[in-house]
Amino acid sequence: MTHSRLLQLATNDEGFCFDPRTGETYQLNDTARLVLTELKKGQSEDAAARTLAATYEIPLHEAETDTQEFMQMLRINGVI
Amino acid sequence: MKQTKKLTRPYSKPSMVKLGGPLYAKHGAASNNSVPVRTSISKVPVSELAQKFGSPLFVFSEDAIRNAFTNYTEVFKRFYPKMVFGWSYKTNYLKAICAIFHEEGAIAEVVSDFEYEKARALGVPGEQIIFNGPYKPKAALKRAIEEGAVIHVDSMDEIYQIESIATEIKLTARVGLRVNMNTGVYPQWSRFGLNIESGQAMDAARRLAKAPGIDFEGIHCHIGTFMLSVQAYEIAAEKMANLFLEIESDTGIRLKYIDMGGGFPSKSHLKGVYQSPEVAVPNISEYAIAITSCLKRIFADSELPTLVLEAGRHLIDEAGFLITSVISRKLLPDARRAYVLDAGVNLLYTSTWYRPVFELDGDEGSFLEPAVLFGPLCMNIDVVDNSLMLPPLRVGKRLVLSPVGAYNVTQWMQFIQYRPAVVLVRKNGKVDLIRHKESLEAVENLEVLPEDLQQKQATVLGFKSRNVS
Ligand SMILES: Cc1ncc(COP(=O)(O)O)c(C=O)c1O
Repeated sequence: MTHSRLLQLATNDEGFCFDPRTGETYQLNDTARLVLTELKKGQSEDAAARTLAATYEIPLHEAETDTQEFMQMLRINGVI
Repeated sequence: MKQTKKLTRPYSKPSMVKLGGPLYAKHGAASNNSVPVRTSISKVPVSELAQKFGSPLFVFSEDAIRNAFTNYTEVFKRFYPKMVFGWSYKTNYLKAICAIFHEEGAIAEVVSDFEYEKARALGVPGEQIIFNGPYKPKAALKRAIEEGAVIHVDSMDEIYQIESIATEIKLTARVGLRVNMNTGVYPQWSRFGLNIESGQAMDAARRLAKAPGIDFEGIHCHIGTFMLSVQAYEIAAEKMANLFLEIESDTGIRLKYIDMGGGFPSKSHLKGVYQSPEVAVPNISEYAIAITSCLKRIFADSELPTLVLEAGRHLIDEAGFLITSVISRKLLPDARRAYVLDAGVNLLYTSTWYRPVFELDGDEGSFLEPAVLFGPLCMNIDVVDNSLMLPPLRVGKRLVLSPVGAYNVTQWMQFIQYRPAVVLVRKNGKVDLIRHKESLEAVENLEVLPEDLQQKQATVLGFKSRNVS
C-alpha cells in the first residue's frame, strides 16, 4: 500500500514532487529525494536509512531517526 | 554491502515542504530563501567561543559598545553644547559593561539601593550618580545625600522624606523632579513622578523650591522605552522646557538641567511591528534634532540648561549575542520540526516582546522548513520561537541570537538551569570572561538549611538502583 502510493508520486531532479491523488505539490531536499528513491525501488525503511548513512557518512542511528521522521512527514501530509 | 557513491555535500535531514500552503505563501519559495550565517563575533569564531566557554554563552563586543556610545554622544554633542550622558544600569549592570561606559564618560543612572551600591563599588563618585526610581530606602537616600548624588524624586512622600533626612543630618540634598506627561503615545508612563498637565508637577516644584535641606537642580522625564516616535520626544522636550521656565517665573529658581531620560530604540524587532528594524527605527540624529532644536528654540533668549540623557537599550542591545546549540530535535504532530536548544526564556526575558535574529554558525543550505525552537526548561511556556523557517538542523548545531544585549543579562532567571557564562571580546581580540557560569555553590550561597533537616533521607522500599550497593 505504502509502496504503491509512493510509486504514484511524480518527482523531478529539482526535488519537485506532485501527488496526483491529492493534487498537492511538495518540495523535497536532496536527502528526502534519496530516501524516496530507495523506497520506490522497493527498499525497506531500514535499508533506505543504511543507504543514507553510507552516502553522507553519518551515524546510522541519526539516519534511522531522520528516515523515520521523514516517513512521519509523508504520513502527516497524507502522502502515504 | 552495496557500493554507495560518496558525496562531499554536507548532510541535511530529509525534509519536505508543501508548496502553496500558508507557510509557503507567507515566506515565499521555500527553496529560495536562506537563513543568515554568522561564523564570528567581533572577528572571534563562534565555534572557538563555544568550545572554550561552553554553550549557551552570552558574548559582548567591546568595540560595538564603544562605537555605539561614541556615535550617540557625538550626534547629540553636534547639536547641543551642554550634554551629560548617563548609563542606565538596569539595562545591563555587569561590572565590565558599566566600567566601559564610565571610561567613555558616562555617569551612572541607578534605580535602587542595589544599583547605587554597585555603582559606588565600581568607583563611581556619588556626585556622578543619578538616583531614580519609585523606591529608595531611607538608608540609601541618606547615603545618596551624604555622597552628593542627584536624587530624582518620584512622589510627594519622597520629597518629605528627603527633607526630613537632610535636616536630620544637616546636609543639603541635590534633588531633581521626575515628571510625566502626555506625549501622544500609548501607554503613557504616568506612574512615575508627578504629572505636568494636572498641575501636580508644579505643586511639587513649589514645594522643592522652598523645602529645607534641598537644592532643587533639575527636572527629569522618561517617556517610555523603545520609542519609535520621534515626535513624542519633541512634545516632551517642549513640555519640559515650558515647565522649566514656569518653575523659574513662579519660584525664582533657575534649574541647572533637563533630563530627558532614555527610551531610544535599538535595531531590534519589536513584535507586532511589521517593518524591519532598518525601516521602522528612526536614526538617532532624528531624536537629537527633535529634542535639541526644541530646547534651542524655547531657550533662544536665555542660557541653555544642561541636557541630561539616560539611554540604555540603544547603547548595548546590538553589542550582545547569545550562542546556543541544538540539544535534540523531534517532529511535532503537525509536521513542524522542533528543536530543543540549551537556551530558553530563562535567558531571553526580552523575547516576549522582541524577536531576535537567528543566525547559524555555518551555511546549512537554502532548503527551509517550518520550525519551532524550544528552550531547555521542563515548562510548556519555554518557547524561543514558534514560527521560524530553518534548514533542517543536526544535533549540536549552533545558533547565534542577536540583538540581546539589553535587559537580558539583568532580567534573566536562575530557574531550573544554571545561568551561563558571559564573555567580552576586547578591542584587541582577546576574550575575557566577565561572569562565570553559575555553580550549585553560587546558587545556594544564600540558602540556610536548618541543622535538624540536614542529612535526612527518605526510606523508600522498592526504588533502588542496581548500581548502588
Ligand atoms: C528612568 C529611566 N531612565 C532610563 C531608562 C533606560 O531606558 P532605555 O533602555 O529604553 O533607554 C529607563 C528604563 O526604563 C528608566 O526607567
